[in-house]
Amino acid sequence: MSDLLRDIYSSIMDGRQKETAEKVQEALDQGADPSVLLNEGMIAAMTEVGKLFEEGEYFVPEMLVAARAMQTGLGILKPYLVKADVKSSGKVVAGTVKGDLHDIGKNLVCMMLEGSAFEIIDLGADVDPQRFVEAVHQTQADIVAMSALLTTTMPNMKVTIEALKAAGLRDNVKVMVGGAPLTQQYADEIGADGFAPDASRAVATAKSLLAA
Amino acid sequence: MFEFIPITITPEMVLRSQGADPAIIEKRSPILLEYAKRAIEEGSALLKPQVVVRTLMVQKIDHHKCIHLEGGSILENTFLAQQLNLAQKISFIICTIGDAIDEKASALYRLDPVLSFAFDGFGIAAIDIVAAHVCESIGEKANKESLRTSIPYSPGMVRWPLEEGQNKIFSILNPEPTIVRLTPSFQMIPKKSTSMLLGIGANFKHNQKTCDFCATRETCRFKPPQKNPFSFGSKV
Repeated sequence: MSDLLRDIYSSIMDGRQKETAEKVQEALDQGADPSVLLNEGMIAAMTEVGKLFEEGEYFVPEMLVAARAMQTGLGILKPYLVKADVKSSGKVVAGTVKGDLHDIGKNLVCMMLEGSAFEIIDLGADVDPQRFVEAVHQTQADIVAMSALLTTTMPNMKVTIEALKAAGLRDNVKVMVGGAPLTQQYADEIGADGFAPDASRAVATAKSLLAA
Repeated sequence: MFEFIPITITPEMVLRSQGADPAIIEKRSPILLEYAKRAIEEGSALLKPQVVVRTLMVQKIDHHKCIHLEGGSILENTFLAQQLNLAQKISFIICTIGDAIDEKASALYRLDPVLSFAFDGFGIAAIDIVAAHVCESIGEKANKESLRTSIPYSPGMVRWPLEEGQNKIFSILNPEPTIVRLTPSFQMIPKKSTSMLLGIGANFKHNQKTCDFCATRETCRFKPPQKNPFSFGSKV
């Protein structure tokens, strides 16, 4: 790993937003390969952040500050990635289900997925099943990611899956779910393809769904 | 009884409400401490704490299943009937800090998610303080009558379904919708609100914690240092 790549990696790990931007620009100015910067510097750092979170070493705000540094770096890198025809990891339509106004968990998931080079279409909170359907139809998304924090709103995940089926889109898209009251068993029962207990593992789940 | 509620929030409280250990953050990510301080500075003026409380006498408890209250209300829940079988009175409580903190956090999300999350943590710390203050005040009043209070029980705890509990508390308190209201999925608006009940009786022992009855107790990263049984670990 070059010094600059190492600097980018550590600036993201420590959540140093300004430094990340400067180092990414410096590396690009020196002719670095954008895909190497993305994969070996930035995504590698976010993967390590996620791992440390799962181990209980990093806390949620530290994950968030790292994701923000990553986003800033990505903002600079994006035009170069487009030019070099580097593809995103996948397209994700994300939202908190109908009737549920909680958005912090969903926002964290979106930031972590963005940090792993997924393209995010964030529908927000209290999302009607039909809006998920329309977004999948319009964007040709690879994954629908649904969040719920209430036992009373969890059933709307199944309603959304049924709406995707009714629209003939279910076979085109993977569905992953998460949120405090959810379990793998519940995800299986409603016919979701994946379950993530937290924002970090949402990334691993999304990757494994698209690799399957 | 609750015209003035003192709310003093420290950066450590904000960080803890964000699921972080303040001592570690201070050493490893001091910038987050600065965000916590900023949320306190800018957020304190936005707090509008309001409390709705009603205390009802317990008339009888049927077969450890139903609690009959004065005025004809019945609290039908086996778990609560067991937990509150020593209660002479039950206080029903709704607390809120208003919606300004949530609005601020939402507005900031696109601009600065870290600051947005700090505001959210600040709001959680604030509603926890309001709720603890109310519980302590009711506890002090009970002590003067030689009574004690139970731990607070909130809808959504392991054996008190959200819809059942919210319906009961809101039907008893009937709060002004301008203070707090329920969505069709039983979420409170403003979001930084909490609803609960406290048993009041002669023989309650403080050997339980609110977290003991939380569905996410095994995996929760938001556990507060439980110095007293009124401590909350809100994930509002």
